[in-house]
Amino acid sequence: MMAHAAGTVTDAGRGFRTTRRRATGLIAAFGALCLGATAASAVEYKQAPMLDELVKAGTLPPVAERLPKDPRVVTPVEKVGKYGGTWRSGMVGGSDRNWLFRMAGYEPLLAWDREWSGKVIPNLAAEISNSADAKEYTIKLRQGLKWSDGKPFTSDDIGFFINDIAGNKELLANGVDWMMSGGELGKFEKIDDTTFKITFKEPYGVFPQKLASVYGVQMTMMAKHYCSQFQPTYNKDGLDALIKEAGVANWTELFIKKCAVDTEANERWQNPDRPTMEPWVIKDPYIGGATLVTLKRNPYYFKVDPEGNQLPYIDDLSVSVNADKQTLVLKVVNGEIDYQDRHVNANANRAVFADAAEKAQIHLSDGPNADMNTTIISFNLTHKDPVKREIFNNKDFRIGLSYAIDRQAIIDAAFVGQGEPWQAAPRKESPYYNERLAKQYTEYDVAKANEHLDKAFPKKDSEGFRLGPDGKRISFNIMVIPALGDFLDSTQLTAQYWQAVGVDAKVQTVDRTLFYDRKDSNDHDAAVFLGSGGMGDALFEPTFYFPFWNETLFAVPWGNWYASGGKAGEEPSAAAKKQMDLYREILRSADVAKQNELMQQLLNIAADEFYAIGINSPGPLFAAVKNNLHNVYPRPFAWTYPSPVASNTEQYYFDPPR
Amino acid sequence: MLGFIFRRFLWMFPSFFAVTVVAFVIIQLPPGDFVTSYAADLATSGSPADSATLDALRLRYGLDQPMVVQYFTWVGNALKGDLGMSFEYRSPVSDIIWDRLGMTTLVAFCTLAFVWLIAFPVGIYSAVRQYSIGDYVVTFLSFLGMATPSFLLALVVMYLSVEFLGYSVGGLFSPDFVNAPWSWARVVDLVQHLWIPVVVLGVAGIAALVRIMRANLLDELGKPYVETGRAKGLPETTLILRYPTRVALNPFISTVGWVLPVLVSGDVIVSSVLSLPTSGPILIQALKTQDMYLGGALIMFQCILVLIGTLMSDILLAFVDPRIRYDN
Repeated sequence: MMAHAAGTVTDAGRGFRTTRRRATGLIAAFGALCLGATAASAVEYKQAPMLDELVKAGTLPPVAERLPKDPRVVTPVEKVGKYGGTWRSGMVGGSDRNWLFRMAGYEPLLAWDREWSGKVIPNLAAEISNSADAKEYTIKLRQGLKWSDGKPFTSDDIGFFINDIAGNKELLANGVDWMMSGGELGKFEKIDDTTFKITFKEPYGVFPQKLASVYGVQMTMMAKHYCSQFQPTYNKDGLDALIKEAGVANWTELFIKKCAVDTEANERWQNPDRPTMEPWVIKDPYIGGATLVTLKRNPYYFKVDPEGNQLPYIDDLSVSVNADKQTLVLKVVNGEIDYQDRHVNANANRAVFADAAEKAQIHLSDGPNADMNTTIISFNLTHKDPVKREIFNNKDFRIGLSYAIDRQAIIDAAFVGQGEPWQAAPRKESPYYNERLAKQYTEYDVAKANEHLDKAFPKKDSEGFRLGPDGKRISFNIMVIPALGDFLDSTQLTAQYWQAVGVDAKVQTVDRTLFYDRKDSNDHDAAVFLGSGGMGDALFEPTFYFPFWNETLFAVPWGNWYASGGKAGEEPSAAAKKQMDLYREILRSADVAKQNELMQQLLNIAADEFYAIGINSPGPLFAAVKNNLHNVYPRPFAWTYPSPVASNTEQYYFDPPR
Repeated sequence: MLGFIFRRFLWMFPSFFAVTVVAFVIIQLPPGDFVTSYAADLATSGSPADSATLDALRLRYGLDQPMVVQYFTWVGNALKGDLGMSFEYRSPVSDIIWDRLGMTTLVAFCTLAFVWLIAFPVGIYSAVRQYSIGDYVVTFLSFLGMATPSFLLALVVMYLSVEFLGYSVGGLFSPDFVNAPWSWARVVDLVQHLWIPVVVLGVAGIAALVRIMRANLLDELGKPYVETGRAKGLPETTLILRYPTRVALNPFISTVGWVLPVLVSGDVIVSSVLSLPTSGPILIQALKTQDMYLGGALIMFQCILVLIGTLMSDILLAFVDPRIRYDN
C-alpha cells in the first residue's frame, strides 16, 4: 500500500536477491559486456526433475532462460521445499470454478502480502509509482517474464487488456468497473516493453489495492499473441472460420470461450491452449461432463525460493468434481484430499475430521474468518408500504429489538460457542475496527429493550403485541435462505426473543432465487445474510456500512441509486448521502492514513444510523491439511484476499512424498 | 396389427410436443431465472455482481425475452440438433449430456439385468414353495429391501466400501482412470466400482419384483391348465417354467415402458450421493440453478424414453398376450 501521497512500491529483496545484486555489481565494476547473461549465470537456478529431462531432450530452454531477470523471490512459510507430488482436492457441481481460482489463479501485477496487513507487494510488476494527485501510475514489469507457452509477457499485453477488452463496448458493454475513475476508463500509454503508464480522469488512490484484489487478476489473464486472434481488430479474415469451428454465434462469445474475460469465468479453466502466468496450467479442463480436472506445472513460472529453486514445488493438481458436499467430506475422511477448505469447513465437520485425523493422516489448520458476522438482519428502510417504512425507520424500534436478543445464548446454541456478540461492523483484526459500531446495543437487556420500544410504539393489543402507527399489530416477515450459511437457527431464535417483547416477527424461509427476486424488487420486510467485509476488505465491500449496491439489504433502492450514479433507485437519506461522498473521497485518496480516517467517519455515521442488526462475529474457519503437506499458512478466509492462493500455494510441498 | 403400431407411433408426436411444453414450463415456474440464482451464488461465495453486469448477462442469454419466444427458440433449435447453451457450465448442452447419458444407460442396464436375474428365480421359488421357511425368509428380506431408502443404502455401502475395501469415494473410476483413454485396465476399474450403484439401485427393484412375481404366479398355479399339465405327466420344472411363468410375465412387459425412465431418473438422488458421472446429478443441479436449457434437455430425453418405452410395451404386449385384441 502507498505510504505517501506520492510513492513507490518496489521488491523488498530477500537473501538470494541481494547476492545476485552484489554479484552483478561486482561484474559491472569490471566492465562486463553483457549484463543479462552474467546475471543469469551468477545464480544457480534449479528446477523440478521432470523439467530437467525436457531441457536435456532439448524441448525446453534452460531454466535461467525461462525465468525473468529478477524473478519474484517467495520466502517459504516453513522451509525450502522438495519437488514433486500431486495436490488432490475437490469441487462440488458445475460452477465451482472459484475453488480452482483459489488454488492456483492469483497472479496480479501487485499482490497482497501473506499476512494481509493491508500492504501490497510487487508480483508481476517490479515497481509502481504514482503522481502526487493519484491520477497517474507508472508501472514497471519484471524483465523477461514469459507466458506458459514461452512467449514474452510485456506492456503490450496490458495495453491489449485496457484498450481491446476493458475498452471494447461490444465485449463489455459496461466496461470494467475497477479500471474506471470519474466514469472513465484509465488510459494506457506504453513507454517501453516493460514500462507503461495508466492515467485516470479523476484521482484514484486505491488503484494499487484494486490491482491486488481478485478483480485485478483480470489484467494479467490475456496473452495478446494468443487472444488477439479472436478479435476482429486483429484477425478480420480468419475470424469467421474460428467462430464456426467453435460453434458459437459471434466473436464476443468466441472470445469469452477461448480467453475468458472475468476473473471468475468458468472459461478460465476450460481452454488448455490459453497461455497463463499462473503456477499450474490446465490439462484436463473443467468442461461439462468432467469429473476430474487436472493442472500441470508451468515451466515458465516466474517465482523462485530463496535458494533459487523455481516454483511451484508441487507437480500437478488433481481436483475431483463431486455432486455433493458430503462426498467431499468422506473423501477427506478417507485420506483422498491433501488440502481443502471450501465446502468442508463447516463447524459441524470439526469433530468428524478430528476422529478421522489419524487414519486419514490429516490435521486442521485454523485461520481467521474475514466475515464480520454470521447473521445480519436488515430491516427494509425503504419499504414500499409507508406504515412499515415508518416502523422500520424508527431508530428506537431497532435499538429496542437489538437489546432484546440474548446473543450469547444464540452463540452457544447455534454456533457451538464460537464468536462474540457483534453488530454489522469490521472485526477487531481490521484496520477499520470501530468499537462503537461493533458493540453498541449488543448486551441482552429486556428492560432497556422495552424502554426503547415503549418510546417508539407503546400501545399493545390484548395479546400483548405492540401496535404500529396505523393501530394494527406490528408484524413482519424475516426472509431467510435456509440453503446457505448457518443463519436459519440464529434467525429463528432471534424471532423468539422479539416475540417476547411484543413484536410479531416471523421467519420466512425461501429459496435463494425467490430471495433475490424479492429483494431486487424491494418487496421484503426484513432479510438475513452473512456479513462480508470484516477485515481489510471493509474498504471494498462496505455492503452493510452504507447503501453501496443492490446487496445492501436494508436499502436496496438507495444502493442502486449510488451504484448507478443517481440514475436508478431512490434518493437516499442525507446521512447516507454524506457517507457516499466520504466513500468517493476514499477512492480518490492515495494516502493510507487519510483513507483510514475517512473510513472511520463513514463508520461513525453507520453507528449513528444503526442500519442493520448483527448477531455475532464468526469464529475461526479451518482447512483440512494432509500431514505431509508443508508450508501451509494459516491464512484469513476471505474473498478479496483469495485464500489460500494469496498465501502462496506455489510453495506448498510434500514431505515425505506421497 | 401394423395399423395399430402406426397409429400408436403417430400419437407420439403430439405427446412429444405436449411434454416439451410441460418441461419448459416446469423449469420456468420458480421465481427468477438463471441470472438470479447465479447472483445468489456469487453473493454467497463473497463476490456479488452488480446489477448492470447481471442485466448484461440476461441480455446475452436472451432471458429478457417473453417465455413463449424463449420456448420456440429452444424447440426450434432442438429440432435442428442444437440443444442450446448451459448457462452454468458455459458450454453446449450436447457436450455435457451425451457422455453422461451413456454412463446412465450403462448403469441402468446393468441394474436391470441384475434385478431380473435375481428377482425371477427368487420370485418363482417363493411362489412354488409358498409358506415354506424359504418363502418367509425371502418375503421378509423383500419387505426390508422395499422399505430401505436407496440414498441411505448408498451412504451405508459407500461407508463400508471406504472403511473395509479401501475404495476411493464416489464416482465410477479411481482417480487414475477418470480421464484415461479406454483400456482393459480401465474397464476392470469400472467394474470394480460399478457394483456399488448397481446393488444400491437394484435392491428396491428386486424386492418389488419378487413380490409381484410371487403374486402373479400364485394366481396361475391353481388354474386348471396347470393341473392338466401335471396330470399328463409333465416334469414339474418344465411345467412351471413353460406355462404359468409365461403368463405371470405379462405385468412385467406392460411396465417395461416405465422401467426405462425410472432407471434414468430414479437414480438421481443415489447418483448424487455416490457422485456418479450420470445424468442425475446434473439434472438436480440444473433445476436448482434454473439452468433451463440443460434441465429442459434432460427432462425432454426422459420424456422421449417414456414415449419409446410405452410404445415398446404396447407392441410387445400385443404380440405376447393373445387375450389382448387391439384390432376390431
